[in-house]
Amino acid sequence: MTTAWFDRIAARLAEPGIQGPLSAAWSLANQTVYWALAAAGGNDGDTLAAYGTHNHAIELRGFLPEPDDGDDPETDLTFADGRRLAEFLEQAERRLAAAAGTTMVPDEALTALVAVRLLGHTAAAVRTTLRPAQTAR
Amino acid sequence: MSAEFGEFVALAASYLTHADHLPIERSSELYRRTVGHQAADLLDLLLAVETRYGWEPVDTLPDRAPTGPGPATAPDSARRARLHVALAEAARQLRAAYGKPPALTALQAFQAPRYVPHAVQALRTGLDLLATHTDPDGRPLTRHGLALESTQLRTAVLVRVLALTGTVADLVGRLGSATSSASFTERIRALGRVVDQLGLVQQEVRALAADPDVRLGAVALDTVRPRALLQPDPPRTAETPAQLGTGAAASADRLADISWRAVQAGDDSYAHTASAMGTAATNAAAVYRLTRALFTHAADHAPATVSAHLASVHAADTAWETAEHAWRRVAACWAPLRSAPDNTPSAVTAESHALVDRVGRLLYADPAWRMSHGHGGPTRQAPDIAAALPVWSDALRQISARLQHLAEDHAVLAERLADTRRLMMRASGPGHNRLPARPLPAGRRAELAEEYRSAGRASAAAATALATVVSALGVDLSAQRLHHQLATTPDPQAADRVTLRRSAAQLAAAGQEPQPVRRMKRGLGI
Repeated sequence: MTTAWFDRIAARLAEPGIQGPLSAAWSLANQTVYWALAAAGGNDGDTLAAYGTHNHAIELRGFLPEPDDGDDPETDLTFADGRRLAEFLEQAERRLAAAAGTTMVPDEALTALVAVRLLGHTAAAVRTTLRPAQTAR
Repeated sequence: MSAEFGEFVALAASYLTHADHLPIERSSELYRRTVGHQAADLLDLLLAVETRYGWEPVDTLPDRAPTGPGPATAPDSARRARLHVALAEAARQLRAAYGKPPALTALQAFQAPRYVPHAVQALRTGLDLLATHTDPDGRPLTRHGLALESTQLRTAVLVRVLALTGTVADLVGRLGSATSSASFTERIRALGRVVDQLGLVQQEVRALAADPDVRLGAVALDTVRPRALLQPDPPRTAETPAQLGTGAAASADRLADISWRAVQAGDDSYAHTASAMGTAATNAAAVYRLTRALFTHAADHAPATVSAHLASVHAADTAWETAEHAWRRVAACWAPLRSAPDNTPSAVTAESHALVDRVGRLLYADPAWRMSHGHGGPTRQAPDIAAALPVWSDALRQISARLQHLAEDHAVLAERLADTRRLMMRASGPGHNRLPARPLPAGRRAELAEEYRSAGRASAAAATALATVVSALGVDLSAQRLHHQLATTPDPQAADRVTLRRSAAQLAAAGQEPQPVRRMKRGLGI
């Protein structure tokens, strides 16, 4: 199920134009919200960074247009899927940065450029969350 | 029109002059009541300005020494106290005279006179202009911001703005003479008292304005423009734990205040979107996580005298963990929801980020620590933290208490969003099983309300646990009661006592024994 979802995201990221990557980025942000809450609840990894990831993902998701028809299955990403999630977030960052330069619609280009920055923050936060459990020393 | 402070005050004054022509004598009692309430709003604003610029001492703001003799020690403190009492009494009497605001129909509200509300709006804009020179904590961002800390300029603001009380007194006088004496004797008497008190205010303002320094200040003040947009902020030095604690408590205050205002006034500012309330809940959970880490860190390194008290901390740890879990469940409830609109820039989000970042910077040495940096970085030096333990633990108690109110208010706001059908479930599910975006189901709504209730309870329990710790550490809570007393009745003697206590608290924060407080208590007979 999870693998199938990642495959679909990869397919949408590879679509020509900007709509596919935008809806893939929205799905990634949406999943990151749930993943970060689960990571904080399970005391997996760096809990504080998980809360930070949640906030970044909320911001990213609110900023991107919610897709009407793009499928958004409620996958149950496990903590270990975080690494792939981060990779996909970075992939979306690169894909949108490229797509922003080719679109002719100014609104879409602006959305993509801001999303690129937020995707970078979110991916970094996911990677920080994945660090082995740490508490203040 | 260029945007200068003096022009906004002049605009407010000219609106109030137009109010002279309101047909008060030949209109209905409802009309007079509406105007009376508008005048009361204006007086409330004037009172807020008076408290801010005339009384609130600059040295309550962190990391700054007072720039001159503070209001409490200034030679004209008795005059300022009389001014404050008279203005506060006038505002109270005017509210009391007219009772609850009239319920106007849409047409009546449309036809209501607008001169006084326009004046309030112009004055508020002028004050907002001044506020661009300081950050939300009142620290100066520009040269104008620094100048606004001087006694002359603060008094000039007072004199300039309170000059409007003259026109308000005229208006209230006209309201009083137009009110029918047969049915409203009590109201007429109250309005008479308002006019008397405003007369006292004007007398004191004239006396303050006679100072040549203040006259010069008023000239300078009139030409203050808003801060230019791209002006860089002066570089900030790293904050001490005591400053961070105070700043975090102030952030929590503002956060609770924003929500309380939205609950009272109707939520039309769109600050409380689903994503903002979800983020606030996550940040609240993170605050409790950080609280636990902070106390663990302090217990490891605190001197033996303090660590004996930290036994009560271990008992409190469960309460904080429960609170963290409760707020995280609230955030989980918000995850599949969206409101319309959803991604507006929100003061709630900004304040809750500021709150959690400050609490984090108490623990971590990085002065620019953010939550997504996580637990990894180097922590602050243990002696620094241990020395300021009384200050920040009391700040955390305050924050916890505010979060309880926040839970109650956000529950009300969420209900309101759901009632007006602005709260939706996001579309979810794959392929044929896909559910479209839909109004919030009753079950989800009940769950959200229940989680907010339990978060409120858990925050209250956490605040109680912190209060136990705080009292074990010997933080002087009566100092805060005195602060409150000072805010309500500005007695110069009380101000002196507060100043003494504040410096004693600073000594204690710097690692001195808290005996000076006790000695001072005996000396002053408190």
